Amino acid sequence: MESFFDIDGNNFKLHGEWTTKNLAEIMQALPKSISAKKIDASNLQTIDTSGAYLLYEKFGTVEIANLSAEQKKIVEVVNSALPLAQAEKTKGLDFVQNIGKIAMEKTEHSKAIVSYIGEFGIVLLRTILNPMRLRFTATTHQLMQAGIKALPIVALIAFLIAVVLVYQGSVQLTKFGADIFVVDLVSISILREMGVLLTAVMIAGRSGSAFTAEIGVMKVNEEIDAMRTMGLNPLEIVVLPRVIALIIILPLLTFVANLAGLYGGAFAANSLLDISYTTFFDRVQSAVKINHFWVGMIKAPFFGIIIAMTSCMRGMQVSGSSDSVGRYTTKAVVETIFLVFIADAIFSILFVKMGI
Amino acid sequence: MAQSKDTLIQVKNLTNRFGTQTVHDAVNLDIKRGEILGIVGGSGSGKSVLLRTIIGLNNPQSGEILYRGKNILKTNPKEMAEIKAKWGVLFQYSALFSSLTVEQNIAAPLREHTKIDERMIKNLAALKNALVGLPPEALKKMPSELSGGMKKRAGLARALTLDPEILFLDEPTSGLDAISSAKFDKLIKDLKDGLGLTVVMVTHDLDSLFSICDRVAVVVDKKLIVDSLANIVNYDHKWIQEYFHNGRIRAPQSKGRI
Repeated sequence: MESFFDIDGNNFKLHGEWTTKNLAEIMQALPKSISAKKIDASNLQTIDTSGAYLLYEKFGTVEIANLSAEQKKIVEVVNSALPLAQAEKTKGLDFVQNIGKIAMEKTEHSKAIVSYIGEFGIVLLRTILNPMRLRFTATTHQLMQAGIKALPIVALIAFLIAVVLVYQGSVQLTKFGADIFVVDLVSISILREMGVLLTAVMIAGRSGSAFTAEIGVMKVNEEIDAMRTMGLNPLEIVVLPRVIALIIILPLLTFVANLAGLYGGAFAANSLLDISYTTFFDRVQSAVKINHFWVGMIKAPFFGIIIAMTSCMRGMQVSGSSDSVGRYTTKAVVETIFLVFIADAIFSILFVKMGI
Repeated sequence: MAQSKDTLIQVKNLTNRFGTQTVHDAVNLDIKRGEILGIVGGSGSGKSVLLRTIIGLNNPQSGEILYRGKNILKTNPKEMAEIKAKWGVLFQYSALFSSLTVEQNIAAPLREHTKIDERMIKNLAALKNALVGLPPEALKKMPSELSGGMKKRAGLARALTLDPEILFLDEPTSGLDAISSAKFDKLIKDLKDGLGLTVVMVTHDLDSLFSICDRVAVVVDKKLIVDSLANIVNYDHKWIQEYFHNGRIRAPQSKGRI
């Protein structure tokens, strides 16, 4: 253990290297309260700004003798910045002020949503009246990215959930000797609800987060601002293609999910309950009415709109830093899925009232 | 080929190639203790690549980089970490950690590499903050709340946290107005004089070159031409002549304008 100092009455002798590397050690070795009339640097090898600062903290502006020319300069540089001015402590908000602040933020946020939906509506209307305005390449890119590339995973999870439904359902139905009704169970569940919901959740996770992150980084890179200065509307160029892509993709993927789900149900019914594929699909045709299929499909484009618009809006709200991109992406995915489930509940109530 | 005590870094026969494009063709460079070395070159000539290769962010095709005689391209990570603690780097866009305050940014190297207690770390960060000319209020700000000039200073404070031997600057005055640039140049010179730093500076700024650089390395035609500022200005090469003597310079021959 090297020694960094010697105390000799009122003299404080420095040894070795008073540098950042050794600072923790030096601070531990120094006695709590110390004072000296003179500091002697004859044995001091090196000193840096941290060392110089520590000396100032312990001894104030006591003169340091026998510093080399280089060491003197460092001590002077440090002294020129001392004493360190303290920043004023910023007062935090108290409880009531905080409530007010949050209330105001939510109000502003709601206004922003309404204005966003309005502006988007205008852009959509303009494009419908003049279809040439649609960014075709961007839209097809999204169709490929968010749609075609999601086919395998959507089919797979629909297949799996159908298998689970058959297994779980059959346990209960066997008690009544009503095995065959498992066909109804899995088909109606998949066609009405599970097919479309699982697809929506998968697309929200996959594409929703991608949209928010892409648009968020564009915002940080000032690309959105650049578009505006060129007289281009970011909603038309960036958001609309994504919305249209998801409106097309969700029903198509839901259809695939339905097929995969029905097949998964047949597969599980066959292996677990010895219900042949022929029996299974016969029963689907006879007992499961087509309106179940349409009930599921009609929800799909609406879920698509919800996912695309929410993620894109959150992306546009990103500002400042990478931190912000992460936060808004998280918000987007959570909100999107939440809104999808709310919409699903509303549709359910609606269809029950309509008797479909 | 012993390194003299005055040469801190020796770049030997360095070649950088990206695909079929050769950026540096067996270049050599000595970085001497206590000097301010400017690296200049046309856009895309490979200035930043050279800097990045020296500080270890880019692997060259061939060549050696000796730091105090040791080839840092072949040094193990643990020893490299110790060597890197002696270098401070200021990136072109400051590269401040965006989710940390200025104080936390400056303190980051101390927290990572030393066992110094919190209170002292805060004071040392405040000291560096003051040394680069930032007001105490800046310490609590987030990088997104700072102006361009303040970001550069904060980045510089962080580069200086561990009292480095060598300071690497990548286009430090880019984006700064003429007054801020001059102030920044002066800051570098004062800190260099006071703290005994060696400074390697990639720059486009002729004013910086003329006011504080001792030697200049010009990256041109995949090679380096290195000489004192006075000699470089008169070097017989088309690009160098055009660079130093076109009409855009206000007062190229006047040094030490502040």
